[in-house]
Amino acid sequence: MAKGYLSLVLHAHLPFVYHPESDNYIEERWLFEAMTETYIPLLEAFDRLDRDGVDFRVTMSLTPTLLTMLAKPLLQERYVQHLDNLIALSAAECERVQGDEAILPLAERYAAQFVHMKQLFTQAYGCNLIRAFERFQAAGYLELITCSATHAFLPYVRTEQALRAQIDNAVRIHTSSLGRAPRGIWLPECGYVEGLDHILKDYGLDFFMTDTHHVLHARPKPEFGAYGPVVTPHGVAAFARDQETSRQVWSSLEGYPGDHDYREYYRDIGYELDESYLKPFMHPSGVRLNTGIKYYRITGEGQPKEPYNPEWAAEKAARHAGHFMFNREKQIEHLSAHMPRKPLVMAAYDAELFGHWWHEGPMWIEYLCRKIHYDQSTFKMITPVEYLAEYPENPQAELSFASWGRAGFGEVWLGPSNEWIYRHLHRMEEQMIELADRFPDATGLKRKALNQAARELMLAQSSDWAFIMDAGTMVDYALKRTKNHIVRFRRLYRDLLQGAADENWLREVEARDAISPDLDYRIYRSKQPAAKEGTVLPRQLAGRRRVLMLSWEFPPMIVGGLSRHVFDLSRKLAEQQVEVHVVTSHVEGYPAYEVNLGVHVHRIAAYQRKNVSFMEWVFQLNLAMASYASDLIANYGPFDLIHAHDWIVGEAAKTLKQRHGLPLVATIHATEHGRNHGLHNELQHRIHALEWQLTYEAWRVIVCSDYMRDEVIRLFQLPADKVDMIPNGVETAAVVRVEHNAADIHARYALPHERIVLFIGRLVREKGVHVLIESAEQVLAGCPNAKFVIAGQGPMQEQLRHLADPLIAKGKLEFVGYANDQMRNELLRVASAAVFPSLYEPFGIVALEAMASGTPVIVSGTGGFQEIIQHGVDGFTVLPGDAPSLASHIVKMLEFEDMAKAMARKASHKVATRYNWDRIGTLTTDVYDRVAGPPADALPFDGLAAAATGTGQ
Amino acid sequence: MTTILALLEAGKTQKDIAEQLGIPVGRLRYQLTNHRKSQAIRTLTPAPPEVDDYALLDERYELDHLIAMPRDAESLYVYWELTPELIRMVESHFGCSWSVLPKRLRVYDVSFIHFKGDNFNRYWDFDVTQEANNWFVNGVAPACSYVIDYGTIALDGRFITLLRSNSVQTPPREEQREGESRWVRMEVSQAAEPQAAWQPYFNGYSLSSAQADLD
Repeated sequence: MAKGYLSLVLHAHLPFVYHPESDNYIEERWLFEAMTETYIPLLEAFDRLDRDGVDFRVTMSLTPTLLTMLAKPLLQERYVQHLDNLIALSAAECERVQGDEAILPLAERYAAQFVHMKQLFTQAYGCNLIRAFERFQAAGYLELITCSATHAFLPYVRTEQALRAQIDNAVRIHTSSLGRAPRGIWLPECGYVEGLDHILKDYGLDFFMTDTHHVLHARPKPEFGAYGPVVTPHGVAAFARDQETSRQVWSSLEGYPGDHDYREYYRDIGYELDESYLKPFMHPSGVRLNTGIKYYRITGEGQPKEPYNPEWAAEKAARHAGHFMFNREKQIEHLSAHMPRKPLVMAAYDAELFGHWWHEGPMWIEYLCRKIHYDQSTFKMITPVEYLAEYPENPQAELSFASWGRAGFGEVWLGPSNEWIYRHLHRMEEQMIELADRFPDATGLKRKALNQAARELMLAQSSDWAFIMDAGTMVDYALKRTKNHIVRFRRLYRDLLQGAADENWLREVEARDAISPDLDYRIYRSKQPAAKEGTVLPRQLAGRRRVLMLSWEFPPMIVGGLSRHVFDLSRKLAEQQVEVHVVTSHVEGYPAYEVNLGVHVHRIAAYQRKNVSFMEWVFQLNLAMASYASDLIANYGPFDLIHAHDWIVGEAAKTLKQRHGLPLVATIHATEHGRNHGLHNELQHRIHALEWQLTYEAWRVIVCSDYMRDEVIRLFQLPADKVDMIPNGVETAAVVRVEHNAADIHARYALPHERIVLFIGRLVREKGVHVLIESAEQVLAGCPNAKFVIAGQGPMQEQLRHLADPLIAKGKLEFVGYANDQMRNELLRVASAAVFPSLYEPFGIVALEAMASGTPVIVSGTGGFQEIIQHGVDGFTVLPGDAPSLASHIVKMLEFEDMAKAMARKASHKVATRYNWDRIGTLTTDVYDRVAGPPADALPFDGLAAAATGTGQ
Repeated sequence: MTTILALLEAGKTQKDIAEQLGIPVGRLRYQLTNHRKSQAIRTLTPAPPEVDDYALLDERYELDHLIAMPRDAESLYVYWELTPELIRMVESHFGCSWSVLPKRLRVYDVSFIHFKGDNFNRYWDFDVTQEANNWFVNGVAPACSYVIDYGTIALDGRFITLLRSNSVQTPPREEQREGESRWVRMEVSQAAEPQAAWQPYFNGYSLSSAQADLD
């Protein structure tokens, strides 16, 4: 009864090297040498074991690129030529070494071997080694597993789509080549990263191999260490390779391959014989290469190399196999004494080590299998699947990033020699996703181009190129291949976007980079779940205008009046069939992207919150806005124009305008000069300069009153015909909605006989609240039952409270704090007069709200107020900053109730007809038409439907 | 230009070529961009035997981004790109030329933190060279999460972020001490029935075109 198991895993891989355009690439010999020295000798060994009834188990990954090359008729043909050449060379060698008794038998041995190999290849295997591997799998000796499609180092693949494409195409190629889906995967370079297991599981891959330290560092630490699998969070088994077994075979010092009786790899006749003699058999460039004919053994250090002796070498291989087996017996006996179940020792190697580097390797494997079968009973050979069938329950563990490369992580593939590739590879992934989204169901030539772009991306991702750049030999070829695939991809990307494809060129590239014939580029599309999260934008309807609107604030963020205005304007435009994308600031707890009442809202975060000045915060917001909006335009464009609100977003607006060549419309809501009655410090000057810049860059400037029109023309030296006046508006329905009855509300703020004089607004100097407080005594003298209610908050709150102290003490004035929409409506409902004594007021939307709700209104005759209120007709306008004037009008309003009601009725009618959002929307689209022309009738390119399919129809 | 293209094809990086020819990288890129523009006009010519236009191999993608990758348990790699427009905004804000502004990386340890810009366990600053567009960050701790900012320094010495990276995690370097062992049962798919060669191409109605091509 066996006490444990040995799993022998061979990773057979070569990068895709296929050059139908030329037969001069020496790199094609990588495949031919591996076939001659590794794959065919292994198959012969398996065949002999099978014939002798030896029950053995080997797990082998045949990578998709290797399978693809083994199936290529052109490479099969060239391999036969390669063998013919070796046959000719070895025949010449037999002539040349006549008389050398030590070498002649070796030369004759090579000659016979090459002839035999050609016969095997062309007849027994029908030129296709895949069928031979398949046969041993069917017999149960071999478990064939897959790898990623082009041997991409998966931890450095950035997007899920690109990871899926690597696995999807691997499984596809494996299944169509071998007639059965793979059950496990050799992760290229054992490169693993968190989350990869989810994708593997989706493709039915139950296990992978990894390096020892990877499993030992898992969380929690696995009970059996590396001598049994662990299960990842998504239910994939990870088998760790055993360090001791790898050292015995790999180590350059103590490993078997360095034995003196084994064949010396570095004494190849290709490097030793006369060039003129070799010329007919060698590469046309005359470069010296390995021929595979080597006559010497490794011999002791410092000694002259001695001729190879096949019998001695075979005996050594047998002895080493015995040694390896004996050590496994001891190891497994020891382990099984400390484990409640049979331990698994996994010995995993690169297949090409056996035969190509270690000439006697395949022989060693054969001896090992025989000896395990015949000479011991301590352990048996097993495949990972068989082990999992025997022990389906295993400890769960989380694995993090690791590989089997030097130092155990990523330094081989990410170092000074190869770091430069990743900025390209990552961008290609993003561009491939963009292409797949833009062309969701392409046909014909376009479809071919898209599929080829995916192939170029995958080939560029092959870890082999980065590995070679790190290793420092054959670097030119690796650089060339990487660059070829990058520039081919870039050309396809450019051509697809321009709608221009060159069929001849594409055909040529398809012929060269011919992997995964039934690849489907649509695997790169953004996923359905992504659409639910709102990252995919819906279809742009034909004939609709698309506007990129920039505003630093948007609901639920409300600091000033800007937020409300942009909200009302954008949803009204959306109602009028304009597609509005508002780019605004991040708000904690709100989505980065949402569609709110038909408006696309994108919220972006600036970088630093603390330790930056106000202007630095504005600067970072603009950096982030410009970068984000640039991506938005590039990926989901085109947009017809940019509409910026106020100077805070001015730099981003300028950048986007210049970079994308779009018309810019700016709304100036207020000016720094107006707010402060002049410019008094450096900050104010700086803001003023930015306001000037925004109006300078804008094609049209929108303001909300004639007063503001005059102000911007004067302050910014604008030509008068560049400025459009569109008055602000108010939604009457939103202002009149009140939930409680008026008496109850009134009771909250005043005694039953008292009449409320209301102020609503920010408590800042420019709103003139202090003027109202100063007028109070005079009002009370004329109208003792007046009660002042101040709603709002702001920096002047304390100062104003102090000023109003005597009135508060008398119960004649009350600060009620910030008023939300509901409270505002209620206050307006019960107030006998709403008073807005502003010193500066670009527009005065709050007055419109009061008018809409039917409250009698008194405003100061400043700025926009003058244009809204016609004195004595629909309200009173008083001298700005003049308390007596204000007091006398308040008294009048309270005293003559019928007159007040009549004015309020007229005011309410005025708001409904002149200051409504439908009108504002129409006037705004007129401005848009002026800068961008009428909306286009057709889609600029069919790609925009991409996003629509993404959202699911 | 021919020399540059030949060197590119030979596998040299833009930096190497600039050094070799003794010209600034910026000028090399400018020339490449011009060349590419002139090439773009000639795309309708029949496919030449050489299919690759190496002038397309520009290192810039007109993106403002900073990407971080874990290299091993104690080092990270970052690469970045700033567009000329972003640089213009920076110059306009600081009122000076880009080339005189110091360039710095700030590496935040954000392990077990939902990073919002100013909440971190600790950070380190590294000055980087003016022309650098990538950096190896050594000396970080295993099994930690990091976010990296590329930025400059205000006159009073405060760091001002210009680009922010994705968050990356370094792998552990040692065995875990804590953690309770949990066992799970795995249902392993038994040896799948060999499939007919056409099976993968069967779409429910007929065979997809790839199989038709094979026949």
